[in-house]
Amino acid sequence: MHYWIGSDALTMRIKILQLLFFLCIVTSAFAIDLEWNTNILYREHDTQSPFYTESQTKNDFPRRESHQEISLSTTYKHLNFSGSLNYHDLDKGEAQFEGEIHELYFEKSIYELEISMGKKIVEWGVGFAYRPLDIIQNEDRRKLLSTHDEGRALISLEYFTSDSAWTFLYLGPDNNKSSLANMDEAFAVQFFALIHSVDFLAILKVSEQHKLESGVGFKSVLNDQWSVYGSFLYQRRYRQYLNHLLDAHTNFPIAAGDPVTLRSRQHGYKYLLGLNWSGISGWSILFETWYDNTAHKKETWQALENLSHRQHALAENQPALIEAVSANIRASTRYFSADNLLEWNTLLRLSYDFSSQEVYMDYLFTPEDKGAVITLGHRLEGNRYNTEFGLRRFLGPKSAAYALLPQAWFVVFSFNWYF
Amino acid sequence: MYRTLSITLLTTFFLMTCKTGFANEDVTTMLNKADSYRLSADEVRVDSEIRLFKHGKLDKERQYSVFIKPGRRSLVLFRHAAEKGQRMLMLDDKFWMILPRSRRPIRITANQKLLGEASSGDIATLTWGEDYQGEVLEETEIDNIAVYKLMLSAKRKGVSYKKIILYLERERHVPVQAELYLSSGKLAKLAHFEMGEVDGRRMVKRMILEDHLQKNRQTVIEYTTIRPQTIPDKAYNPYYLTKNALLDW
Repeated sequence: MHYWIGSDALTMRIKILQLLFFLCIVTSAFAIDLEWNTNILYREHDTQSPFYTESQTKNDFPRRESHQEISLSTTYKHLNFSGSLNYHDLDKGEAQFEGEIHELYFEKSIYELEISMGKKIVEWGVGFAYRPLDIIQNEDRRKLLSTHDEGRALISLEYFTSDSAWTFLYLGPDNNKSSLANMDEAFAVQFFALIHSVDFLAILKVSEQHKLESGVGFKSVLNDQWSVYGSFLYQRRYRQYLNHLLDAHTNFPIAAGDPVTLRSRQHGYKYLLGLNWSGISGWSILFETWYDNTAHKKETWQALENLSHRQHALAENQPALIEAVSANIRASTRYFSADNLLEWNTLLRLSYDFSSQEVYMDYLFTPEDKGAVITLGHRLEGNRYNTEFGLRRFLGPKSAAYALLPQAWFVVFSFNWYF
Repeated sequence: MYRTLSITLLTTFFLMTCKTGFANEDVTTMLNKADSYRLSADEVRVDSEIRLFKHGKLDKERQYSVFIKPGRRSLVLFRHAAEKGQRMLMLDDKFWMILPRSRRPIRITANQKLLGEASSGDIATLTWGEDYQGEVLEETEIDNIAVYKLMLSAKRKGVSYKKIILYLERERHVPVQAELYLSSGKLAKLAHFEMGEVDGRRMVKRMILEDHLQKNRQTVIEYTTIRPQTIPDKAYNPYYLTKNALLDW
């Protein structure tokens, strides 16, 4: 839920400072947690990408972005609130100041049951780079910096024993979210049990959009260093982007309207296996591999690439069509918003934790097209602050899905201050 | 000659068994007594303030609340603003963590629990009697205090330190100093204990940890509250870690 407030950049900056001062006084008087976060991103476009168009890429992948956020969270009796005031500045000269409620819910223990009502964040599943069982929140795990999630309208009942937990959820519809996400009205159940020292998870969700989704997951700690985990999800129905211009019967590569729509398909399944090693020296290695049959195949990306080339060629021959080509290519870039760009994915993460700092290297590889994403990062934790720096580069053969992105690399810097 | 040899062997065997028997019985009593200076009851709440020093200069301050129940159950709530929302649960040799901004408990290994400067293991584990077995190595002195030098070895999985050389005051078995060793055999930390008044009782008031793996680092753990407090069993369920109700305790 976003509340747009205004757009005058200078006025908004002054307002933020005034607000920060006011909030410092208020939070010191009441039990409110206050946090200030600033993110700066610089992106280098890949002008050779067939999905690059000067006008549209600027909108979807701006060269510079800065984001400032003041987050508040508090609990009063059985009411829980967390929200933020955000100031977002893009290089195209636009700025936006908005308020956002992440969570606002009532939670109470009645007899042996825990009851929650309102807008609440619910995260399910196991996995680091991807979580097949995260069908409630559907968190974007490809984001480089962790940001605040936004809760969902729900009513939940939970029952806990010493080694098991039941969660029953009614989820209200949420039309503000991206259309691929599982944001439809639904009933869901999660069961957790600790069986012979193994964390076991089972979930079930029934909704109009997906009909039935069910899955299982586990995590087992083998010894002081090693842990292994996995999960499997089945979806009776799932949705996938379809560009109608890829249809063999369509000769003209431009559509007057939006050529990309969502099509419903049957029998989706995803599974993930992960292995983690952590040494006492601070070194850690994580390996994950996962399969997602709801993702596009290599052939689809090649067809989409060919379509974009044809569209560019048409624009060169007929300049009057430049705007239409741009809009069509922009529509195709929606394919990049899927959870996974290809069916098979593997991730290798190497990290070293030392002296309040962590350095890490993530290497995501898609074996089907040999595309890759490499991320290098550094985290520093201070007494009341932390900083994070990250660099991400997209690699692979020209026709690999990640290499087709209209961005070559980006760097981000984040600073958090805790009041 | 054979008679002399037999007598010698028998005497040696008798002395060995006597020494071992004495040591085992005594060490258990000693450890339980030493634990009583760190925990005042079976179900207890311990609040601590932690100061981390680098090169003698204060680097960080942190606050933790630990709820301990019999059966090696510990729940750690991270109270400092920079760690708000973080929680750790220890059930015997199993560990779960909730990270700030997350609503999902993550099962972690014993080594992952040791990551970070103020190791959760140093805060969550406060008993030696349950986790270690040992023997008295010798009687010696530290800073003019007559002490027993004990060698403790872990008798269960998941403990932070596989071996501890513990020095207990000879008279009252008050902990004085401990050398904490990793499974690799490396000395990880040297702990010094200081007694003081906590909630009206004479307890271990302060633990000073000198880091031997990262030189010039020192952690001072000050126990501000050690008092009996019972929280419901369900609070020790990994999936209960997400509940804000924990903050009311």
